[in-house]
Order: sequence, then C-alpha cells, then structure tokens
Amino acid sequence: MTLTESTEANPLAAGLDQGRRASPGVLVVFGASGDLTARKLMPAVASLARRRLLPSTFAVVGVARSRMSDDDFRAKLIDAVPDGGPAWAELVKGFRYVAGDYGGADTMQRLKAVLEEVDADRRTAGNRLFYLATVPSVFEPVADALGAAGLNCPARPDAYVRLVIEKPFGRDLASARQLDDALHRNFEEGQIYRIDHYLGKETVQNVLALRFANAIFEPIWDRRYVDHVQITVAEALGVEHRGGFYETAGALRDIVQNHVMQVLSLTLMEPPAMIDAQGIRDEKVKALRAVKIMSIEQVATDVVRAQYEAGWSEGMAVPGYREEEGVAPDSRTETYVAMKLEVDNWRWAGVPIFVRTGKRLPKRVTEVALQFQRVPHLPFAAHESRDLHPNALVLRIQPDEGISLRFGAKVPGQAFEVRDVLMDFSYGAAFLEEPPDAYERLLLDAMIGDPTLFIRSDEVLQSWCIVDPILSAWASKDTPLARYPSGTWGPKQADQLLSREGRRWRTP
Amino acid sequence: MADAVALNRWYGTEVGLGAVVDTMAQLRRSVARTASRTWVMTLVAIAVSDDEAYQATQVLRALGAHHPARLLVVQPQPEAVVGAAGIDASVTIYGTEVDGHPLTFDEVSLWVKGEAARHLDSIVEPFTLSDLPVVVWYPASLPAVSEPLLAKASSVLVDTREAHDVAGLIALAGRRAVVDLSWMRLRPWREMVAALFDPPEFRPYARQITSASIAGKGGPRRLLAGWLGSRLGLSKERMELHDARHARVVLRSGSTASFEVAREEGERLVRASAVIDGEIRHHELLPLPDDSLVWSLSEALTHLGRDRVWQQALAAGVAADAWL
Repeated sequence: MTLTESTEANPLAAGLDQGRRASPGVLVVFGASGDLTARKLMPAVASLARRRLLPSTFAVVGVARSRMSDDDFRAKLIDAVPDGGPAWAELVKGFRYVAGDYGGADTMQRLKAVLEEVDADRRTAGNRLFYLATVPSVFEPVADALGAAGLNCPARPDAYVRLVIEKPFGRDLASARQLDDALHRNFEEGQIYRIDHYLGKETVQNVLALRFANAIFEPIWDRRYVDHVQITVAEALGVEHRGGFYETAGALRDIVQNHVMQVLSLTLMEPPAMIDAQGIRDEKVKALRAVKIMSIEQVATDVVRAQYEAGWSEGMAVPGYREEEGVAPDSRTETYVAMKLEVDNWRWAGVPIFVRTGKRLPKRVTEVALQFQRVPHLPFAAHESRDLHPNALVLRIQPDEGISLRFGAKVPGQAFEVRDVLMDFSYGAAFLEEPPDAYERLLLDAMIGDPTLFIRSDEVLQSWCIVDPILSAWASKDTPLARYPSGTWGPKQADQLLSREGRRWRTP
Repeated sequence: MADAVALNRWYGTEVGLGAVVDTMAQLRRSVARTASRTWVMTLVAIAVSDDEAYQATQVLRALGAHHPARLLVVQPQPEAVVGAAGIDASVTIYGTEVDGHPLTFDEVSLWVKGEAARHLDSIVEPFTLSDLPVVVWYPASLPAVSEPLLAKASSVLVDTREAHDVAGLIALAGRRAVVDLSWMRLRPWREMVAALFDPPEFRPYARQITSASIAGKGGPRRLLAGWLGSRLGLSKERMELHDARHARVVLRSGSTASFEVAREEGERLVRASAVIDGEIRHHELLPLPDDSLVWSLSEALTHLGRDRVWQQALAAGVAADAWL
C-alpha cells in the first residue's frame, strides 16, 4: 500500500511541548572517524535520543577517509557511548558509513546513493544536516563537492539541507572572506550554521537572561555607571599535544577572534526586540561594528602579546611554550593576549574594554566583570572606608557559573567602618540539574533550524575586522613578545595596560 | 551534591508559630558561616500520617537538587487534643556542598492539632518566601475543594494514581493550576505513542483509529484511556482496558494498521512499532525513563501551569466511567 503523507497536526502531540524535538532527518558527519565525532557528537546524539528529542526517523551517515564497513562504524559508535545500552545499539543499527576522499566526486556519488537508501529505509524525508567535523582545510572542497553533486539543495520542496562548520572560520579577514565565498557558492547563508561551542554554554546564554529579563541591571549597563569592563578567558593548561596546531594559530586567532568576540558582543549589545536568530545576531553585529578598529600605533600601545615560560602550574613544574612538543624553539606565537578596546557608540563611548586570554595562567576561568564608577563622594572617614572598592558585577561563565555583586556594607560595631562584601549567586548551587552539553544543545538547534546560537557570516567578518589590524601589526619581527612564568596572570606589560590609567586587573 | 547532613535541629511541642519562625532564624545564624541556597519557591507538603510525612520529607530533600525550595511538611491532626498552642514543630538546618560551595537549606515540619488544622492557610503563611510561588503538594490524598490553603497556592500537586472520586479535582482544576504526578509519569508514554504518528505518512491513521487496547495499573490506565479517547474521539465502547503490571497501548485502524507501545518484560525498555498491511513499517527500542516519585515531582515542578489536555483526559476518563 502506498502511504499518503499528511501535513495536518498530530492530535496526540497536543500539550506535549515538542517544539524542540527534531523532525526526521540524517546527520551526515564528515570526519566521522575522528576525535570530535567520538568524543562530542555521538554522545550528544545518544543523549538527545535518550531524552526523546530525536525522532525514530533519524539516522547518522559517517564520511571519512578510513576504510570501514557499516558494521565497523556502528561498533565504533557503540564504543563511543559506553552507557548507551540496548536502545543506543538499536538506534545505531540504522547508521551508515561512506569511505572516501572528502572532496571527491566519487565519494559524493556514493554518499548520495546511501542517503537515498537511508531516506527509503528510515523515512528521513530528504532532510540533511551536513556536519564538517574535519580540519578547516577541507571545508571548501567538501562544500564544493556537495554543490557539484547537487547535495546542497533539498531533494524535495519541504526538506532542508544545512551545513554545520566548526571554528576556525579563516585565519584572517582575507581567508575568512574566501571561505565565506566558497560556502556561499554552494549554500545560502540561511543554510550555514557556524558553531562556536561557547554559545551553547548555558551560562553564556544566561548573560542574555540577566540583562534582558531584569529591569535593575540594564539601566546601569552603560557609560554613565560603568567605569570599565574586563573580559578574562584564562586556561591553566598549556598547549599539551596541540603544539603543531597552536603554532599556526596563537591566542588571538584561537580565542579572541571567536570566543572573546562572542562574549564581548553579548555583553555590549543593545536589547533586541526579540530573542530570536535575527534579533540577537543583528544586535551582536551592531555591537561589533562599534568596536574601534585599531591603528598600528594603537596596537603597539594597547595590545600586549606574550608567551609562557617554564614555571609551576597547579602544583606541577611545567615547561615553557618553546619547550613544548611540536613548537619551534624560536617560536614567536603568542600564548597570551591582553588588549584595550574602545567602543564608539552612545552606550559605551569612553568605557575601556580590557580583554585578556592566555594559557598556563593560574586557573581556568572565563568571566566578564563590569567595574562601576566610584561614588561621587564618600561621606565616611578615610580610615573607615579604606577597604572599600567600587561596585563590581561579575558574570562568571566557567567553571563556577554564576553572578556576584561587590558592594559596601557596614562592619558591625561602634565605628562606621565600611568594607566590601560579595553577594554571590551560584548558578550550579541554585539549579543543580545538569544543563545539556553545549554540543547537544547546538546539534538539536541545527536540526530544528534555529540559528540563534550560531554565528552569522557578518559576525565572523566583523570579528576579523577587529582582529586583522593586530595580526598585521604583529607581522613585523620587531613586535615585542613579552614572557610570563607559567602559573602567573601574565606579563607585567599587561598590568601596565591598566595601571597607566589608574586601574588594575581583577584576580578572578 | 554531597548528601545533606543536619547541622542543627530544634523540636518544640505546643509552640506558637512566632517561636518557630524565630527559632528558624536563630538556627540559621548559628550556621551562618555557610551560604544559604537561592530559593525558587516554597514547597508545602500536606501529609496525613507520620509515614506519609516521612516519605514526603525524604522526597523533598532529594528534590532540592533540581528545585531549590523552602520545605514545609504539614501534618494536620484535627482530632488531636490541643494543648497551650496547638502546634508541635521541628526545624532542621541541613548543610551540604556543591562544587566546593557550602550550602544550607532548612526544613520545617509542623503538626497542627485541633481546629487550626482546618485553617492551614494561616499556618503556612508565615513561612512562605515573599514574591515566590507557593506550591502545595498532596502526596496521597486529593484536597477538598473548600480547603482554605488552596487559596494561598500558586499551584497544587496531586496524584490520581490511587484516586477514585476525581469530580472535585476537575472542579478545582477549573479554578487554579493543578498538576497530576500520575500524568507526569505518563508523559514518556504519551510522547512515545504520539511519536508513532509523527511521520507524515502515518499521520492520517491518527484520525482513523477504530479501537484501542490499553493495559496497565488502575489510575494511569484510565487516565491514558481518557487521553486517547479525548484526543482521538474514541468512545468507551471502542476501548478495552486490561489490568496488567506493565503498560501497553495498542491502537488499531480497521484491520490494516496497528500501532503499539509496550514495555519489554523484565527490562526498562519500551518497544514502539507500527504494522501496516501486515508489514512492520516502524520499529524502535527506547529506554524507559525514571518514573520515581522524585522524578515525577521534579517534572511536575517544571510544568506548573494549567494543562488543558490533562483536564480533558481526566474529564473524558470520568465520562467514560473509567474512574469507577
């Protein structure tokens, strides 16, 4: 019997709030034999299935160079999710594998045939989510090959085809544009989902909740009350086994161009009319456009680059960057960046934004701190308020997610002594429920077709516009490269960046 | 989260509410070095026996991980002899640690004797956290519609699993948000049955179901029947109900198609299948989610609004005499 399709609503779905359940489809993973697939993507798929957020009409098709049968691939996926149980094993039975060169026409033809079989067997309705879990150098060839094979367009009018790519989105502005052109040759912008897993973190999204669900913060969230903003993305680890990769990247490309710019734009943006893809991304781009592009002279005075030396980190003696595996002994790649950014708009004009990121810092922490101005007049005796500092609102993004507010309070006793106290909201201690993993959240968003937490082309390019002049200025071998011992908060030049203005870095 | 330990405890007989509230503040100060939790609600459990109170207390403590709440367990004893104040109380401050953060939360138990047991609204009020929802949970009985405490409740949690007469509950649900834990436990089942009709090619069958067979334990089975009856327009004559240890739902469209969701014997797995013209067109194995009281209560606290589909299912169940 030929089954007739219907678009009418499922009467049994009423009240089940299944708006965030994926529709039928195939997740096609390029780089299916790689680390990201086993470590992040498949556990995320298994968790979505366990939470019943995936339909039964779902399948994964893996594509990679390694020779493997469907059964080998399935066995690998079962190993990747050790707690998957019989239900995961059952789901995996419908997954397929295609071996071949990523950009090869032959690979795409075989993929196309497999997808047609999967559509027939699993009723995946022609929907495809292509996930490029590969090295960036194959993004272009894969996009071109998908286009040449006609896999970039839905096979039926009601189906979707989407492409997910992981950072880095280029090495500089020119290569980012080139990548964008290659992607847009084959896909509409609305089909492209650029992942920065930072945006999948619950606490990054919580920045939006704090700012736009509360009336008390937004009115003071501007130049009239904020003295300066500090954004810290610190890592305790060194480059570990990624020395070879890191030599081609550095902290500016690896962290500042993406994670920092995303956190920065969420912190500085204007309230959107709607918390949706267009509303949020439009405002983020506007915020990034307001960040002043630095001249070469400003890079020299407002940006500090540095490299870690041997030292002690978390109780262990650790080597310097140049002693790390895969790193050149005379490497000039920065493992630390500190900079002062200026923002040219009504809200933030005159408020410096200090950013720092680095490896081998004393601890892993990501936070945004709004340092408020001092009160216009302190009516207390100097000796009674010497321990008082300006108010600070700190948004802790990881690892101890939460919000703290520093304010002055009277010390109990006869004297009127005032000192700092910290009012602390710990996100994890309030809601102890484990939030979904960032990949799980983003994968489901991509399947549903919600691009809110993905990065739009103009966001990527604008981030590069901010970072590119710094890269250009650093191209000269004469650019100073400071050193800092592992396990410290960076070089003294970074401290001077603030101290010359009478400010100082927070100690997270 | 580490297991919570009692840091300080107080018990008083025949005490006034003011004394209980003051004691709570004193006990808090005595452990002031640890930080208090960030609350999201006041959760009041109404227990009618010591056993029920004990069970409720255990569940509420476990629940703290998901829904940080001030916990209040009230045991009304209208027949008890009233002494000087008519209230016995205990206050316990618990301490625990989350990711290195020391935390405390408090739990108040009240035994309310005599006529005061009929005015629980006035008993509960001093303990409610300002500006936050007050959720009242009846672990094993359904509240009388005239119960004054309901006026203080933002939401009422009940469990119809063992309930027979739900007419009052239907009336109550028309006036305020009522959440049924039995309905929450059925949610995974409802999702799995509904998912069978998600594929567009199976969708037309949902409008052409001619009979349903529903097996399971009393209350939930009848609630499922009410749901399927109200959503699919099935009269009671077209539904068969069977008593069984494990739930099983079979929906048939004439003799051409059948859709089944059934628990695997001896395993926490559910098999969902669709057979059309004698051919298996769909087959799926799903893990059965947690259905513990802690889980269902947690789900209920996540879905505190009114649920029209549940109201219709309950009413349809009653109309079909399924509740007898």
